Amino acid sequence: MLKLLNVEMRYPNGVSALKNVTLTVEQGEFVYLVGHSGAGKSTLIKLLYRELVPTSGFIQINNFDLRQMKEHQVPQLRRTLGVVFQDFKLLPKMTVGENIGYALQVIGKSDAEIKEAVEQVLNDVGLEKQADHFPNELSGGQQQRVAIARAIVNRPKILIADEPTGNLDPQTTEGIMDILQRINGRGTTVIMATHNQQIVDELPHRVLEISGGKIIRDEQGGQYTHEVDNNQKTPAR
Amino acid sequence: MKWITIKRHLRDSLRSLKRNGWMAFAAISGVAVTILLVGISLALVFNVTKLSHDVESDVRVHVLVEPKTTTKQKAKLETELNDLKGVTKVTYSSKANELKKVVSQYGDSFKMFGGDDNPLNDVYTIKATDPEETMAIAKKAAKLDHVAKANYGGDEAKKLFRTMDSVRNWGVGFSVLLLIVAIFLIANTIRITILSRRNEIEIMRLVGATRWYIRWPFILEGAWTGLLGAIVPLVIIDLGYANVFRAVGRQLASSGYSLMTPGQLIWPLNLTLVVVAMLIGAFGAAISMRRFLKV
Repeated sequence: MLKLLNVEMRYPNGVSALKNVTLTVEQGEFVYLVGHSGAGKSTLIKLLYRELVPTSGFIQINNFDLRQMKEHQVPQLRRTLGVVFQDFKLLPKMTVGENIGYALQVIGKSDAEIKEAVEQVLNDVGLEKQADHFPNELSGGQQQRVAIARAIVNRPKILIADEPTGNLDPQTTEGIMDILQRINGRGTTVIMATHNQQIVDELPHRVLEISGGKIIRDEQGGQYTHEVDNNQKTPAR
Repeated sequence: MKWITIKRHLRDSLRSLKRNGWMAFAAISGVAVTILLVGISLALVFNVTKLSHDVESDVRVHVLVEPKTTTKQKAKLETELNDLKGVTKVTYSSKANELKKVVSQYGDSFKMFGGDDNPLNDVYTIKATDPEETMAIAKKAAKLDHVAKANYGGDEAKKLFRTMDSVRNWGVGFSVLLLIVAIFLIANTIRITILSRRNEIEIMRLVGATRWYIRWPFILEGAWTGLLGAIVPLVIIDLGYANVFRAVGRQLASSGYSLMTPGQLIWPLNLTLVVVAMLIGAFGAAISMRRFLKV
């Protein structure tokens, strides 16, 4: 499904963002990527949807070899992934329905198929009445739900979310997490970078902690902070 | 490309033009100003080319008949003129007719020379088969009986050719220069509108759109910008030219030359400018997008 082997990422300015990262994620897993700002989470996410190409190492996603692939194959890879961002990244001049439909339009689906899929996915995220609204007419939480709807509309095997709740209040965050859990429940792999301790602790899944460009913890059902850290912090409180 | 994709690109490009309101208006205005300048200079070049061609191919000899020449003598003279080598056509114009031309060109005050006071001569106008032969014809005609003078323009014609040539060359040079400026101006205006939409392009790439899928609506939008930008200047040029034709054409007609009629000029000019504006718009968009499409 998703394999990284000895992946190194060094930026042109010499900064080494990832060092010797090796990782496997199976179909249907829910993985939290945690770590401080600048730890390398976003770099890892960008490598997964091939915004960046690793300096060395091997990355395989949905049978695509990301290091060897040609530029013209990148859209093919991205059509097998859903990507959600903290800042939603919606097309401002398109309505909600058009934003979601665009992901299907680029793979040549007919207007009828697009209409049906968009209605269904808007129903899934609870925005069936907002199809004709423009993004700036929606709240942050609603915009993020549109972004998720767009990411899942063509039923990707993997959903990558880079701090999807970063700009949202706790109540809205809960709603977004409900949707992500449901998507995962249908068999979609979810990889989510987050700083939100409450989410990670209350909805336990596999936790990958990155620090200084290295994976320092890979724990099934882990907490946001490592138990040893918690124990160390407890007396201080 | 599938029909459904073409349809979507067309729809998306028009929709985007509408939804990008002010940016589109700015780009269209930029195109309009440039096309107006290019259009005016092209209209000038087309006409100078036509006029210089007219002058080159239409050098005539004017044979002034001596006063008091009888009708019989004039008929003999006309036969002799027709018999000269290289003559295709001999046209007669009485001195009363010549005065009419002067009046129409310089005004009614010349009517006072009517009747017996008319100082002009009867004139035979000779058209040569080859402009080169006009000088020889004029020399031979001057030697015939009852001929007061035979004019062929001579140095004046040569000077006119030189002036026309330089006006034409400068006009073409100016148009080419304007066209280059137009390309940069239009491409730059479109570039600014695309710069403001680089996030849009990034998002399109993220959801798996191929480069050409992203590019086409922008290219078409560029072409529509060119088309819409060309409409207002073309209307101005078309209406303006019709007026210029009426005003200048009347004066030129008395000298035997004419501007291109609006019918001759407007369609080729409109078509050229529309195609040029659309192509520049489309290329401008394609070039401006290049850097945002590097994956």
